Amino acid sequence: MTERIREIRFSSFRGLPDYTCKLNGKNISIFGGTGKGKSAIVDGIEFFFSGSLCRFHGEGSGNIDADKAIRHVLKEEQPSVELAFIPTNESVRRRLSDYSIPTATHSSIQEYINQHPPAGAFVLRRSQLLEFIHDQDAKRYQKYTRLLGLDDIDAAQKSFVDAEEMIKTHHFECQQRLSDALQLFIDPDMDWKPADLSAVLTKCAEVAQPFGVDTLTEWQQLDSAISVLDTRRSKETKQRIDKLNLAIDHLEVETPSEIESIVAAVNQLHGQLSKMQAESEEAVRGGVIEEGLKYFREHPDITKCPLCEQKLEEGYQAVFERLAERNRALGELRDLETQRSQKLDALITALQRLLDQLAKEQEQDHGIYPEKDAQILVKHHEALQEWMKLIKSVKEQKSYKDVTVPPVVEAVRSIRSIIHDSLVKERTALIQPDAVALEKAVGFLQRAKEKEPEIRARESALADSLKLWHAMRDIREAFSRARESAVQAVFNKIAKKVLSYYHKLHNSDDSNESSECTDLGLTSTSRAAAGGLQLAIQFLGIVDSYDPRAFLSEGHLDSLGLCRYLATVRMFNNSGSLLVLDDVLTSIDREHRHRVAELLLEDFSDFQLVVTTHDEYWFNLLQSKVLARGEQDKWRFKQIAKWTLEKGPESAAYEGTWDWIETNLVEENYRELGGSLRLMLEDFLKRVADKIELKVKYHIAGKYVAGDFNFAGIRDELRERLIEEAPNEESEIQKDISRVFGTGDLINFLSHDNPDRLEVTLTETKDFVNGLKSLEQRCKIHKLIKGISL
Amino acid sequence: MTVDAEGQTNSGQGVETTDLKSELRRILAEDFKKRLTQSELISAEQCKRLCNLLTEESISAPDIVKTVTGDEESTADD
Repeated sequence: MTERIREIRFSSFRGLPDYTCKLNGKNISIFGGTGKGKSAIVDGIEFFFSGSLCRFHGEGSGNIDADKAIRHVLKEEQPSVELAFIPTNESVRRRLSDYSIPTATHSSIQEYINQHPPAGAFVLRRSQLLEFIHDQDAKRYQKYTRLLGLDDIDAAQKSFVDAEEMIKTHHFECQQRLSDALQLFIDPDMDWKPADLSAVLTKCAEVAQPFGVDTLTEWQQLDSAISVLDTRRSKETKQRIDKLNLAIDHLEVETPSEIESIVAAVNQLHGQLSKMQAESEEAVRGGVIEEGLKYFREHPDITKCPLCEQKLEEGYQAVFERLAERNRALGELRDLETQRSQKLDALITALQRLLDQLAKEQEQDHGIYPEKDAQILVKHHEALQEWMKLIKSVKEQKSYKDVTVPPVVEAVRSIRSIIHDSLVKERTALIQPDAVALEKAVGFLQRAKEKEPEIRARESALADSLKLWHAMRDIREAFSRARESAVQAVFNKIAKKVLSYYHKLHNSDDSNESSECTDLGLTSTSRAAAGGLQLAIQFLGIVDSYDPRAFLSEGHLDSLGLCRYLATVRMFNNSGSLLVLDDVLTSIDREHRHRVAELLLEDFSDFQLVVTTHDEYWFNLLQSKVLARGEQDKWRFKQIAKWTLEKGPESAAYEGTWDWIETNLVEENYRELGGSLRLMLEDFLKRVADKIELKVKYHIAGKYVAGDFNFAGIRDELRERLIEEAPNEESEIQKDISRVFGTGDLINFLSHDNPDRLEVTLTETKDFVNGLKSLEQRCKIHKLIKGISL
Repeated sequence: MTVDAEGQTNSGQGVETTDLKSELRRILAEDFKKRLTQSELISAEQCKRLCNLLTEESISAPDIVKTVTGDEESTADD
């Protein structure tokens, strides 16, 4: 990202009625006491990017009226926050009524806005430091779901599981088909049931053997075995008996028996669904909610409802959670819908099998069936085709009316039974008593001959389906393990970064400090497919894999929370984006704040930082670190001196004035700086005098000028105190004192209101400015100056 | 899901950041391929097709079944 924020303009926004925070493309550190409007500035940044403030929504937000809370209490105008950019001179404003961030004209600015993650991923407040540590495993996992795109991977995982289930179901269907084909060979008299095709062949050999068939071990021998038996049969009756055998075999294949039970199950589901539909108007919107969830997942930053186009009263997260909760509540309804759909599919399949069975029987009738019965069968077939149409329309229309099994289903069974009995009777009459065993053997062998190709195909299909199932199981397992290992590898990397930051803060040779937390793990739990992430530490190299809360102090937990956040920002957020830290160092001691400052300056130099604090020590510390690194051109340090309802925050005078002086310290403008320089000098002298308790001549009006302090001996007093604090810097201190106090009436020379003013050079002015800055810095370091004053 | 062949690396003022999202997908794709190759039940052709499938925007169960069977028709429709 090439763009940086030049300034942020707040209008009627919370405690900022009309306020501009200037960054000039730099990082900014804002210092101010409690209630001075620092957090409102952070709120404004969050508002700009998300359109709301997350703490006013969701759990724990009570009855807060979010819109009201965003408005300035005295202002009627629409609250707005505007970001002005550099180097592209364009600003983008967001008003409370805006559903989304207005589009920027320049693509670089639009890109800047688009590439920022949701505000929670770059704005850290003190209250959120421990959030991740206290979170449940599932919540922790969710925090990385979007960042790592885990939703997609988890969806793929589910698809692999579903694919295995599909193939497994297919295998069981193949098993059932084989079983159905073998059913024809069941011999109830001998309680015999073949397990496979080879058992059928063995049985063929067994029944043919009494009739002179000695060898029947191969299917190719079946024809000759049938021929052997055929020679023993009656020539007059065998042709008719063969036809009857074929027809009877078909009729002995049972019609699907599950039709009635499926219909009963469908009706039960319809009853439940009708009741739920009547009880919950929202039930019918289940699909809409699912769509809504999908939409929100894909558009995490929207603030307008995609359906009604109204502004979302709550932030995205709250709406998402509410929808998810509603979605869970409707889970049962959706499950019932799915079950209904599956049952109707099963009914359609069973009915189709029955229709196919009847069609085949009609095709092979060849005048064997009694004519009247054959005609009845044709009519029943047509009636069943009509019922099939009806069932399909029930499924399509999602009607929950009861389904009735038409009488034709039972009538088909009945007529087939009648035909079967009639054919069996005819066959019995044709077979002489001494030929019963022979004809039975012939019938068995003929049946085996007819069914052998079909059974062989079904056995082959079953073997293939088993092989496919096992392959699919390996594939699902491969994806599952690869997913686990990849997710873990990435979490290990994140954990390593968190630990490295934590060690930066807590391992120090200088102070002989070593980190309490010697190792850290982010582990996908066994429930990872549903989403779980465990946080554990190793404590002092002794206790392994333990919840950090069990061992770490509050301060260490805070710094662990900070390190986790910063590591995530470093690893996921774009270079050049914002990082906002709102008063997050409260419970971290001074020494560790040094290291936090170093961490920020070293590892986040490519971010634009906004750091707020009410801690003067931290503010000064960060400033001195910046100066020590020679990076003052990359930072602005802003002090808020006071806040009023009418005016909002007011900066400490000198802070803004220094900017003015620095900007105008050039040949063309420096002669205009007299007033500002006097203000700065007097501000400095007042604060030093206050701190060192200098006895100054009392003025009833409270207006003190530089002369008052000079007269009171501030020059000598300050010099002595500074040398006492830093004796080895005596010559530099002397030099600074003379640069500020030894320039005579430099400021008067520069002032417009001095009619006798003389020319002062730019170099002399710069020397004075540098001397004053240096003295002020020395006073800050040695605590010889009060913090803020106007 | 889309799996990039290679993880993406950004550099910002000397601070190196790696696109973990891409890296996760790269590790997943490599590991998946390795594990498929180790299975005696999965052919080289199936392995290739499955690895290609991971580059798709989203993966459905019927897509996986088609990829494994090599059929346009889903097995469930047999």
